[in-house]
Amino acid sequence: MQVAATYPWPHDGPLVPAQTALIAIDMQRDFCAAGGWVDQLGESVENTARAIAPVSRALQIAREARLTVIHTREGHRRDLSDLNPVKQWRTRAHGLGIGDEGTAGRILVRGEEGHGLVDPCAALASELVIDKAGKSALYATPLDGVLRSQGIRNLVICGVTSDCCVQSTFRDAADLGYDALILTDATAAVEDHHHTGMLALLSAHGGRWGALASLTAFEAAVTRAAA
Amino acid sequence: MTATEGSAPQIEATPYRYPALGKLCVRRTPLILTGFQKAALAETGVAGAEALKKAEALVGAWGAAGGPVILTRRGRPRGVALGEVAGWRNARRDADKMLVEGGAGWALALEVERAIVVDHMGDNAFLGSDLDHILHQLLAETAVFGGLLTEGTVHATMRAANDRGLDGLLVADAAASTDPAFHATIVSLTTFGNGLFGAVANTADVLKALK
Repeated sequence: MQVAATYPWPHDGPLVPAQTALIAIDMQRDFCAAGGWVDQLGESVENTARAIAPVSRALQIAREARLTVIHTREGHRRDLSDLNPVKQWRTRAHGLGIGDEGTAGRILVRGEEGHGLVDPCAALASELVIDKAGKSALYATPLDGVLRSQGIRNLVICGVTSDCCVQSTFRDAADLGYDALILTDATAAVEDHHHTGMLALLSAHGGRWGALASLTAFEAAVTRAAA
Repeated sequence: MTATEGSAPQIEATPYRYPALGKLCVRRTPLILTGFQKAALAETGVAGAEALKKAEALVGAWGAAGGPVILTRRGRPRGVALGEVAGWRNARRDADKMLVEGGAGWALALEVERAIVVDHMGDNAFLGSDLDHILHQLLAETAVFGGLLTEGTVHATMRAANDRGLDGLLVADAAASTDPAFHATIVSLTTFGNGLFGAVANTADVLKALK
């Protein structure tokens, strides 16, 4: 399956930095790093780890262009009051679930080592970090309100995983009126066929929910905006 | 409890017998069929027609077992424009269009007496609607999904329900897409990681559990 061309983004003209935010989704040790949760489950982090360098590059481009930069982390309160019992049950199927003690602290719990962002994608002190208990960064978080209050209409989305939190956020962004762009080579899924399948369906029909483009195209858009 | 008393044993599903926790309480589990509208039905051709037949069988059995049925309908009120970006995207594609309320293509393709009809303007039926509120009144912790398009309103709504803590079941043969590969992708990633977004079963599995 292929990624079809969507549309030149933003849909209505050149990128305007003051109206644009880059959102780096869940670049956490638990998903991307050796020793994190995915790794401890015996699954491969080869794909998700491959997103680290391009996301780091995307962050650099966004910062130089003075876009608003926002990071998200999936995880739960230390008392697990925001952890649905079914979600916890599902994750325990392989013996190590959310909230359980792993080798990098408690899995997906705020403040624990595995929950933190990988170093190349670390947040600057001035950048907002959104903690979320769900997949969509726009569900039960301050993100929508923050974006609106700052006049941000356009979102550049990167991070992991393409088939889960990236696409969930992208879909909600579309329904909430944003013009969002997914950086196709700055995102990944644990399994290849889910990654390629998701990008194929998201890009169909000229981009029903938003645009898809490469990191290179994003950099070109930013350069044009600065010219 | 027997099926006629509003409860049922578990449903054989993938990757776990559904629901994950406890017994299935049909009375408090809405059957949520999203986007089963005439235009979508036409666009999905044979696959859509077959999904509709399965959905009708589900509706019959679910209602008989005392379960709530919710039909969602995507569209916009006549006097309200879509948001600027959504409108722009909608205008430049030929398929999966968001339609004006009252139009022939917008109308539901199945009629269910006593169904709760929820109107919504995007794909995620929770946004800008009272779906959340209805589920709260039902005390729902579980929900069963079908509809059109699998990768559109069905998945958007199911994944949103999942974020809200519901244990969802996708009835795969009661959903369809214009592209079978898109349908297959959604079915596969729904079950990934012991049910990233929930479990998947077929209509036959559900009917068997309701007997």
